[in-house]
Amino acid sequence: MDVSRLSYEEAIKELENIIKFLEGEDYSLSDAMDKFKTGVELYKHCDMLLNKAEGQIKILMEDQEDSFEELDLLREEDDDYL
Amino acid sequence: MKPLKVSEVNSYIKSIFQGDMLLSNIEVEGEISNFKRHFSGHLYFSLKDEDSMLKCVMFKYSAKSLSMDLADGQKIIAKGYVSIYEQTGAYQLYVKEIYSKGLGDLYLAYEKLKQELEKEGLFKKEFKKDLPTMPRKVGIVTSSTGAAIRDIVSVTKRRFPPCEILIYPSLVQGPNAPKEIIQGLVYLDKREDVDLIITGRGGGSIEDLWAFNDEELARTIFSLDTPVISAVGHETDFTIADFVADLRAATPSAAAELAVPNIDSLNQELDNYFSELLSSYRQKVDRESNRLEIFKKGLKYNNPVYRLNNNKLVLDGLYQKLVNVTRDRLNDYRRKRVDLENRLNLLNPTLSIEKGNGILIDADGKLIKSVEDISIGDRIDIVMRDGNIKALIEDFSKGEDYHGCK
Repeated sequence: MDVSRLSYEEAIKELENIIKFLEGEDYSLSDAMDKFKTGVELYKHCDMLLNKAEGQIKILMEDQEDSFEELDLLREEDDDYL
Repeated sequence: MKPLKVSEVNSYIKSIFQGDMLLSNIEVEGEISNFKRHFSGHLYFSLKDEDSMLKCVMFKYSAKSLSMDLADGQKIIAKGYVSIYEQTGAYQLYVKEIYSKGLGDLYLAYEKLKQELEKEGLFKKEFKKDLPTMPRKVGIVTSSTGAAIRDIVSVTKRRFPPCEILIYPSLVQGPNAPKEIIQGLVYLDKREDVDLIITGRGGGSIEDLWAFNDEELARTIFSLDTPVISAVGHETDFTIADFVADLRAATPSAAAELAVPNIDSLNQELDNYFSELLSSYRQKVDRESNRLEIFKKGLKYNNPVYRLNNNKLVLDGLYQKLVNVTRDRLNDYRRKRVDLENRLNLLNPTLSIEKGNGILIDADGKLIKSVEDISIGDRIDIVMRDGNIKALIEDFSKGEDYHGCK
């Protein structure tokens, strides 16, 4: 499973599944280790999505060819905007 | 002519006003200013036009039947009578009814459209789309200069920093506003990366919000695939857009609160998941190591070395028993021997030597036990404790009583 491509919700769901799996009985220790490793990756991924990324704020501007250009709102309006 | 008292003048003017056909039943058109709601429930304000101003009062009992909120800047038609307040001598319009100027027709149209769309089912709950729990990109259609965009952006960013925001600037009032808002909605809806749209504006008069009562706008909102939150800044008045949107927020700030989750609670939730992951894994490891411990005990018990040791122990026990039994036996023998020895000692001839007796030994070295063993003329030895006596048998007699011999 490529954890880095999951959305937050998907990752959380996967994490829930792993916890449920680990709370069960019938599996080997090496399975447990693999699942735990994946769980930690999922946690890191979620943490990254929540806390490491700052979403950009863009404003759309129409250009000559009637298409849109995305401009950085904060740069447009300077620092006193917010 | 005798001068009149002030109260007489005011009283006279009042009676003139009351007798006047026009002043006693009048409709006045103007814009509200200096609007004040007294705690008694009476409303005080002025009506003005470009050149002039008229003081107005609307008593509580009349104000109760008002169907709209009054605010400065609103253009209204007030119906009532003009009279004088004798204490101050100020004349004012006593308002009994108020119509919103020009809004009368609009209101009718609004009600008609609302009923029509409701009948068509555009407001039905079953058509409301679920909002994404965590939108990655929120599209906003509103004025780029108002307080609304500021509020939405800052609340969104405060609550959920990773959220991206894409703003489609549009007019939010005036005849061209609906068209621009519709364009923005359609554009953002087509974009794959926008998963929630907020449209609205800050508070204002009913007229200011009118763009959001547009029929085509309502139908556009209904037709979008992306969920829409309406945020027209008015607590009490619902616009058509509010009814048809998937969620209605009272203000732009409230729209942002509804649009994105709170990152603090998400972080806490994530931490909880991590603790659960950790403890469920640890439990598994504990379970396994317990099992291992049991196996280890089993192995140890069945270990040949352990068995050997165990057998050795048994052997040692047996050996010890053997030793004990043997020792006991030996002791028994030893005791018996001592016993015998004691008994023997009683009979031991050397003992009589100790007492001073002698032992008689014949020439052959044999012990002489009886007179039968000797003859006259025999030479014998008498062994004493401290030496030997050589003796010659001269005579002897038989019998017990050796004291009787000579």
